[in-house]
Amino acid sequence: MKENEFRAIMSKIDTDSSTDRKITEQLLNYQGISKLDYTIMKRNRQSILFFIKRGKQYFANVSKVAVAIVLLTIVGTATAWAAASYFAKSYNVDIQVKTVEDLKPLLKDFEYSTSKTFGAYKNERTIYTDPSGNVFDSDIDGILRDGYGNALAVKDVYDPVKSGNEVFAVLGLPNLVPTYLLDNYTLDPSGYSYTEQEATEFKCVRALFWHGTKAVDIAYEPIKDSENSNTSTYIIGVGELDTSNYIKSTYITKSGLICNILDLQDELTISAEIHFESNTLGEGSYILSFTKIEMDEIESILDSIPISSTE
Amino acid sequence: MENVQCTEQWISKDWILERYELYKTMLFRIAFSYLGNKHDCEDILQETFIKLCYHAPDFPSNEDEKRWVIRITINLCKNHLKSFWNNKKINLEELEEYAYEPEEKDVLLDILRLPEKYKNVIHLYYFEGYKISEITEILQLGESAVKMRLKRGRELLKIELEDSK
Repeated sequence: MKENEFRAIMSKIDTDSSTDRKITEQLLNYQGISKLDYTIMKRNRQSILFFIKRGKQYFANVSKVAVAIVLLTIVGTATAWAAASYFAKSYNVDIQVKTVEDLKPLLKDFEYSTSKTFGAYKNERTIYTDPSGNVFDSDIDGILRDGYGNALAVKDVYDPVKSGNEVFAVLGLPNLVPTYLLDNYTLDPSGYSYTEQEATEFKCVRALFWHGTKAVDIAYEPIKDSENSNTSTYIIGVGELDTSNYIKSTYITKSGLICNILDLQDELTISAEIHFESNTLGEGSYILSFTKIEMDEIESILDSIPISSTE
Repeated sequence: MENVQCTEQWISKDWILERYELYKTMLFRIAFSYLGNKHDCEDILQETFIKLCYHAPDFPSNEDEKRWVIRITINLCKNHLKSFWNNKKINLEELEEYAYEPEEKDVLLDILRLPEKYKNVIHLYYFEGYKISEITEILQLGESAVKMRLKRGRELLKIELEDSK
C-alpha cells in the first residue's frame, strides 16, 4: 500500500452530522464554571483593581511606622477583634463607568498599540511604550510590566496565602471580610493578597471567594479624605457593554452602612463600593464585586460586613 | 501613572463552534485509531472539547493549543481502554461505516491492532503533517525513537515509502 492510498483510506474517518450536533449541543449547554464565567470574573477583577487604583490623590492613611506599631498590637488582639463590629461614618460615591478607550488620554506620556495573542482566552492586550522606547504590557491584574515581566513600581510584600486576620493586620486593621462569605463561600486557592505600590503609596488587600459558579471579589484600600472622595470609576473593555445601560443605586445595610451599587445589567456583574471614615479603622474604600449573584444574597453579604454606621 | 487593564474578548458560542470545526476531524481520527467505534469516539471528543473550552490553560499560540488537544485526546483514549468496561473487542460492522472496500477494512483493522506507541507516530506524521522533530516534542520522545516507531509502524501497516517523500 502506498502512502497516499493509506492517507485516502484514513481520510474517510470523520464525524457525521449527528455526532457534530450531539457534541456541540453538549458543549454549548455545559454547566459548571465556564470559561465565559471565568473571563467575566477576570474582567471584574481587573475592573476592581482599576477601581481602587483610580486616584493619585489617595494615599495610605497609615504610615509605615504606624503599620509596624499597629501590626504588633493587632497580632495580639486579632482574636478579640474578630467577632466585633466597628463603627464608621459612610459616604455616597458617584460611580462612573468608562471604557478602556476613555482611559487613553490619562496615559499622556505613553504611546500604545494593541497586540493580540491567540491563546484560549483570545486575549487582546494593550502594549504601552514610554518615551524612551521601553515596552510595557499590562498583565492579568492590570499591573504594567516591562518586557522582562518586572512589575512597574508594584511589589507584593506578602505571600498571598495568608489568613484574613493576618492580611488585614498588615494595614493595622481587624479582619473586615463579610462573615457571610466566611460561613458560606470558599476562599480561592490563591488566598488573600496584599499589594503595595511604592510610587503612589497605594496599598490593597484582596481576596476571591467562590460558591459554585458564584464569585465575590473583595478589595480593601486605605484612603485619605473619604468624605471628599466622592467619585470613582469602573472600567470595562471596549464594546463589552453599553455604558449607558448600567444602573446605579444605594443599599443601606442593616447596620446603616451606605453601599453604592453599580449593576452593569449584564445579569452577571454587580459591584458595591463603600467609603467610610472611622476613629478605629481610619478611612477606607471597600469594594465588593459580585459575579452571578442575586441581589437578595448580595444584601446578605453586605449586611455581614463587620462595620456599623455611627449615624 | 495609572494602571490600565488589558481588554478582553469574551469567549463566545462562535469561539466554541470555531474550535470544534477546527479540531473535530483530527481528534475523531485519533480517537478512532484507538477505539474503533463511533460512540466511544464521541465520548472522547466531548470530553476533550469540554476541557478545551472550559478548563484549558491560556496557550501562547494556536500550535500549542493544537498539541495540547492532541495530547488530551490520546490520554483520554488510553484511560478509556484501561477501564474495566472496555473489553477492547472491535465491532467489524462499525468499521464498514468508514471502509467501503474489504481491503480498506483490513487497513482500519491493522491501524486498530497497531501497538499504541506506533499508532501515535503514524497518525501525527501522515495525517497532521508533523515533522519528526515536531513529533518528538509532542510525544516527548527522542528523535531516534520517533524514527524507529515510524519505520516499524510502516512495516506493520505495510506502507511503502513513495519516491516523492
